[in-house]
Amino acid sequence: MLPVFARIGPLTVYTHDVFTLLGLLVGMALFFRALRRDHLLEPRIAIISIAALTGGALGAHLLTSWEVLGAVQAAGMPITTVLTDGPRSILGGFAGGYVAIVLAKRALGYTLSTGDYYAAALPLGLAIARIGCFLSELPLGTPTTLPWGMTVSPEAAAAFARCPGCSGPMHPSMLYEIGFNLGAFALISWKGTLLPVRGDTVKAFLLAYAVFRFGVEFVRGNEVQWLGLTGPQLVLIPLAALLAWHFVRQLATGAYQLPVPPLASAADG
Amino acid sequence: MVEKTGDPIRDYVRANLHSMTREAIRERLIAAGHDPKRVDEIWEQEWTAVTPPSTESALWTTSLVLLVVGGLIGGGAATLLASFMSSEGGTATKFFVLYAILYVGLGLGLALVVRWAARGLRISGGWALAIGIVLVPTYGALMYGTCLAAASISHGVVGAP
Repeated sequence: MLPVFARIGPLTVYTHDVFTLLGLLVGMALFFRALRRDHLLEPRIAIISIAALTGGALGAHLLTSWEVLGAVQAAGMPITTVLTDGPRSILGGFAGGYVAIVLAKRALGYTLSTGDYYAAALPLGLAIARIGCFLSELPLGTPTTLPWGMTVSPEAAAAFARCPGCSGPMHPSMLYEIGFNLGAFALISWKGTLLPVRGDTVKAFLLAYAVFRFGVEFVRGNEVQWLGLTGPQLVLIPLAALLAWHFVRQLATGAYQLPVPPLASAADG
Repeated sequence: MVEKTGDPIRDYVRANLHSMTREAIRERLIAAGHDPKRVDEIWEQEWTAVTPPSTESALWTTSLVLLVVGGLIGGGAATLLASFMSSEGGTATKFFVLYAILYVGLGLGLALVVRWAARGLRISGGWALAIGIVLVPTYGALMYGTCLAAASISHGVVGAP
């Protein structure tokens, strides 16, 4: 465990923050590189990108902050701790970012689909950010007897108020997620856009991620909230349903039955 | 309705530019026996016609202005709020009332910044306000949740995580 990355004078730099920032920077760099390739770098894109970034940050806080409000008050800590050290959810980040992009695009009258330019940036950024989670968050996952189960020292476990299963080997659930995201990044980098309709590759990634994350939650060690499901799983159900509905509609309307171009020989003749 | 030119490659590219990916258009035209080099040339021409000229200097100026100004306003306001709450002894109600005021204040401020930074672009006042309110204290939250949080914890302003 490496919760603190560095101490510089009075400043403590947390590992989680370092990797979150690194993931964000790498993701943004890939996004802008993809935009540059298609000559789409212009001021409106800057505003849309900043809207995505900040909307994502707000969504990440809002989705989970309420969960710890009671605990923070009960511990006698300043309520502002909810903002500074409260949990942040990547799912809330996706939702907030998406809403912000839609609003910003409508505001600017921007009609081109830019979703696919995020397709490679998202999984790589997520994989990097998850390294920070892996190095600084406990529990790593639910208890396991599988050979790759990982253990942590009692001192590291004692630093967390809630650490079920930390006394034995645990599923390295963050590593599973890193593996999935690196695989998705490799596939998208290799194949380019996976679907022929503009904007659908990133939606396909988000749906695959939602399904994968739903499964990983069973070995993640998060608290069960309702019907045997964790908070993220409850959030994922409507999000995945919306994405699945999009693809059902695309198939039903024949969006993937693309028009056939005239043959070159016919044009020549 | 897309204007026809009589050139089958150009007509196909033009008709599908907004709905199909570049790869999908290219793949289908080449499969139909068209010259890949010509397909690429025409795609570039048609794409350039629908995209505004690339203005990277304006892009970076806009980004920097928004990030620096927004970051300073958001981060500064969030720090002030944290200091105030710590010294006064915070309750959830007081915090949310103050946070709401901060939120609206930042929203209006950032809406003005967005309008200024995006001058020359067509953007309505109402939408600028909407962007500001969406962007808002996220600047603060983003900054405050990372760098400023670390600094304030180190200075004993808030409790350790």
